[in-house]
Amino acid sequence: MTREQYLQHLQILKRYITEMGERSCQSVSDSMISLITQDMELAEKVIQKDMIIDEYYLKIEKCISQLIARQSPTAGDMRLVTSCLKIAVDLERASDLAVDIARITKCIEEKHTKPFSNVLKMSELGKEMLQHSIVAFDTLDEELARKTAAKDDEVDRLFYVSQKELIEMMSGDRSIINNGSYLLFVLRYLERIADHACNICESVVYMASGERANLN
Amino acid sequence: MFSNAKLNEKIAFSLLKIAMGLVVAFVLIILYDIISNGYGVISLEFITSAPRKGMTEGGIHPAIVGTLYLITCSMIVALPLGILAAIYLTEYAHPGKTTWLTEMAISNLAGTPSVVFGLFGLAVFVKYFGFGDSILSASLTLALLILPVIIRASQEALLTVPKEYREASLALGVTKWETIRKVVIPAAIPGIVTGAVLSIGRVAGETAPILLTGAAYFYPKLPGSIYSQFTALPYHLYVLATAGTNIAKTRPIQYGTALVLLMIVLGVNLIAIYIRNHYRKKLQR
Amino acid sequence: MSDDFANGTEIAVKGLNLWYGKNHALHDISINIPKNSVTAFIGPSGCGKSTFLRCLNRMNDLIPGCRIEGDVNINGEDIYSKDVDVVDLRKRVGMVFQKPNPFPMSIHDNIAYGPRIHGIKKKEIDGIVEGALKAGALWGEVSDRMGISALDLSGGQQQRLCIARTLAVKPEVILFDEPCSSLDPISTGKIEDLILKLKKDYTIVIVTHNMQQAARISDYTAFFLLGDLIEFGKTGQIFENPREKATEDYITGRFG
Repeated sequence: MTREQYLQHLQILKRYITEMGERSCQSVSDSMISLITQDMELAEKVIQKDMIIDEYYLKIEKCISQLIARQSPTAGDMRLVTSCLKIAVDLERASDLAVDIARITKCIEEKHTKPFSNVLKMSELGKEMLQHSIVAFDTLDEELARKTAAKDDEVDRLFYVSQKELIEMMSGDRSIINNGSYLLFVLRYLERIADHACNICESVVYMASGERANLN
Repeated sequence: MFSNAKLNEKIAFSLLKIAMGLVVAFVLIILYDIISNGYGVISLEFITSAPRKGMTEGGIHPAIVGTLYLITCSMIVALPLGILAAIYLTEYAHPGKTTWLTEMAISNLAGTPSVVFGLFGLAVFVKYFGFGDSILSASLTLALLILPVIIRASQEALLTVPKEYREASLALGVTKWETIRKVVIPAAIPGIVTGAVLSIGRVAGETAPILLTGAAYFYPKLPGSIYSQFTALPYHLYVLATAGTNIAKTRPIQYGTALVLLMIVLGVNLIAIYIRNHYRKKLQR
Repeated sequence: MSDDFANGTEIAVKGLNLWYGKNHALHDISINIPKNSVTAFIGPSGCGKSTFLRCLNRMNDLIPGCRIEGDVNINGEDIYSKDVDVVDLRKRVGMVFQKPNPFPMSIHDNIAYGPRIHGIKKKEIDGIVEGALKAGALWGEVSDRMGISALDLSGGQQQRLCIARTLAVKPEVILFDEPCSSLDPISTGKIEDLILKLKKDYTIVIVTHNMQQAARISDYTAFFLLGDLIEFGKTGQIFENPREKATEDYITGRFG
């Protein structure tokens, strides 16, 4: 096998993305737990850990510019490199959204409201999509990527239903407007996290097949 | 319809073909003449016995031996001297007046008529050094005659050894002399041998220098040592054809002598070509 | 110029000037080349990079009318000092050339050539030959036909043979003068991998016309232009963010 060093670099890049993906998933998951259990400490941890994820993003960006400047990747390697840059952006945004959720944990008032059931379902779906998109990236599994992206419709449906429900609830009971409006944001964030997972899936499809699919 | 360029090419090509055909034709005619006339004389007796009855009968054994002596002795002197001089000139000498002068001298030496070499040999080897009329004097004279040929051929051969070989060897921390000895000379041997082949032909064929330095008009026995007189094929032929007792009668013997001379030169050349190809095969592949 | 190399400095050049007759070919070159790393010299044709490379093993000594001023220290020894034995220096600083130039001998004899002349005992030669061919990544391809002519090998194999031949005399530094310019991409890849492996044990300097090659395999890159050293730095920095405009113009192909 020739160009061993180059192949090693590509492996390192892939590993960075996978590690960053795992951390993003963890952040999303932790932020939701902190919100549900009102665990301020955990929320704080999520906010702190975002720095590590940002560092990952910088490392990946640097790794990619070095690869392009020094190794001139082509064909599948080029698709991998450009996709990695996009995926890193999506992961970074996803974990920023997790931080936003963690911040909301700190603002929310003790008294909880009913629509959590839908939020829980959405967060489970979002988390799963993010996780699966990373697995699809790691194994270059186009089918898994397409399947994962398909779940976005369900997330969107849940988002609209819950939003409507929540607004109706708030107009019925003014005391929950504070928490309710925060929850609206959480719904929005979860929907966006699912969108980012969807983007990652698109990148994986492009990496695997060279086809630029619109899976949203 | 021919374009001008195509027509021109046809004409040029035809001319080249005719020139080559003429050369081949001449060679074949000469060869045919010598072989057809000389073939009948050639026998074991012809090449193993001495001439008899004022050279009108008998063989040419002493002349054959004399020629072989001349080839061997002059080569022993000229080959190492010429190769060493060539190595010095191509590998060590710095370009300058002295080198230029030496190169000029060699070129002029190559163009000097052979009879002048004969006179020089007579003055220096025969008289001054007192070697007398002998194989030694004649061989040394012939060695001088072919020296420029050998030097030139060796120089050419050394110059065609790729620079890369020298660089590779020097870059390994090998001295210049070791590089020349182990890499350059082995690679130059085919070219050097070619030079030697050409000069063997000249040694075997020259008449004027040996006439003045040691060949005897009639010498029906074998030379005893390198200090003795001798006869050689070209000289024997010359004597038979110009000053013999009966020129017309010895015509077949003349042709036979020419044929033997031709075969000796051809034989030596074949050996040299074999050596050259052997080394060349080792070098290229 | 940075000097804080991880493995220390192998070659230190200060104020080197070179003339071919009246032609001032290298102007005041100062550079420190780090140990156990690959340093690439890049630049357009005639920029002096090959000339400078040949200063490092004094191959320029062979060119009549070549004059050199300045200090070249290799491992702390001034190689242009009067008591330096050039032949010995070239043993320490090996060189691989542009065109593969195996001697017209067998594979075995090519490798054994240097050690033999340097007086290594006969019984040790075979071991050295095997070791050098293994280090040159050629052993697997030729171990069963050591007697055949080196000229029967492919171009890429010949170049690896030349590298192995250099390794057999156990140098400290290996200079590569455009080693892949006559090779196809696959052979080039093999040579590049080999160079990357060799840097563990040797300091490597490589002149290359192929900028991408410099980018791929070198740790440090020096850019030469018209006999001047324009910029020297880590390869990543040179190719991502060069300090000098001339460097950027050259490596982005906007030169001229």
